[in-house]
Amino acid sequence: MLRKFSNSRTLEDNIRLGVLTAFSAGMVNIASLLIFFTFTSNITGHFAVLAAEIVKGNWYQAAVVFSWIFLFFFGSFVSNLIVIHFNQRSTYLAHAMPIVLEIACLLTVGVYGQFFYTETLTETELLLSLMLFAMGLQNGLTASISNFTVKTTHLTGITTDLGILFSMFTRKEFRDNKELRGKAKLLSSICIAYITGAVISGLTYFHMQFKMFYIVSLFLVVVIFYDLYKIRIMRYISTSRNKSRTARRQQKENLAGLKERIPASENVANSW
Amino acid sequence: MKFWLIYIFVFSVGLMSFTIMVTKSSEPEMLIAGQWKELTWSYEDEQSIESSGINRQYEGSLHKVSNSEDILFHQGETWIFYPDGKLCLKSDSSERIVHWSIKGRGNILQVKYANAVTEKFILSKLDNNNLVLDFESDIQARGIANLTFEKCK
Repeated sequence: MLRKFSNSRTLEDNIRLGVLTAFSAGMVNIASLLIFFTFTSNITGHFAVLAAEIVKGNWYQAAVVFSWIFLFFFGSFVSNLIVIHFNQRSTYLAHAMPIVLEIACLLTVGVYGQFFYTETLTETELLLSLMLFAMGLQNGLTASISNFTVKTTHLTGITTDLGILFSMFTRKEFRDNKELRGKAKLLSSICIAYITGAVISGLTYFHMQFKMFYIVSLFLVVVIFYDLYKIRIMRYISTSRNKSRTARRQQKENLAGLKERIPASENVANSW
Repeated sequence: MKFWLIYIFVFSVGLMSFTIMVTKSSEPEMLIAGQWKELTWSYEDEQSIESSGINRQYEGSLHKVSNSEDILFHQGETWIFYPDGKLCLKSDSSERIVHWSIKGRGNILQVKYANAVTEKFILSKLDNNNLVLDFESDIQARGIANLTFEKCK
């Protein structure tokens, strides 16, 4: 999911990354809506609200919404900054770091909400800011490493693309196009995962409240460890392959050495 | 070097805009604190109440409307918002203490009762003298009731 970059990613890589992160985003968005009455994974509406608050002269609300939009932007900025600056050292680490940051933000929301939250407006705004920053990080990462194919925190673009794709599928030449079918599969998977996450979040909210953020973090941990696990397995396989290759090479060398010695000893025997 | 200056400039402009907006405004929690006298309590549309399935009841001087979630409306009350999150709902015959908080971007007033009933109002107007609350319930009943308050000096 996180090891490969841009065009080297397969459809399956993108689907796995898209499904898990969309599920998390759906959960976070509904949790924030139910707890704080605000969406945190999509900001299109916030732009409209910002304009409306400026027109009404509600400067406090305008400032808050402005900061949320900025934090979503800044999350995406930080995410891609990490990817492009650390990619040469270790692709996996560069791709995992934004998710680690996202987990840290969401865990902070969960822990603070569960143990310290006294429902003041300042706390509410700060927790929402953390969630928007986390969603910006996630969206920036998935878009960045998938060559802008996977965006999982909002569904406006995806719904538009699906509409276009399904209209294209009315013609056989497009239906037979493997790439287009793959794209439709990816986008549909993201939509379904997002809705599933949102529904589960809505159903479990009354029992779990802020503990919901632990579950979201757990899903993101799966994203990180899935690749770490694969990397270990691949390393193990390549190390054992190298070992067996070296062993085979040594065997060959030994055999060659023996063959060289045998004719020499035969010559000695003949001379006797 | 020029490239970094542009970045610093843009971020500084953003930060300055935010600071100006915050300093120009008052925090809703500070504005709402104090005593508010209810002036009017109006339905947007009587028919929409009938169609939304809300049942009306009368309880003393309080005008109480409840839907399936036991959400309450009030009339003829004085609301005293204390900074510690307590809200005193005073009428001629009764007085009760509930809990209030402001959520969202500072546009939603949440009132929690001891019996786990929660009311949600949109702060459609809040300044030093006036407070207008729109009741927010199910989508079909949204905005049907509107409470106007005046600050007691």
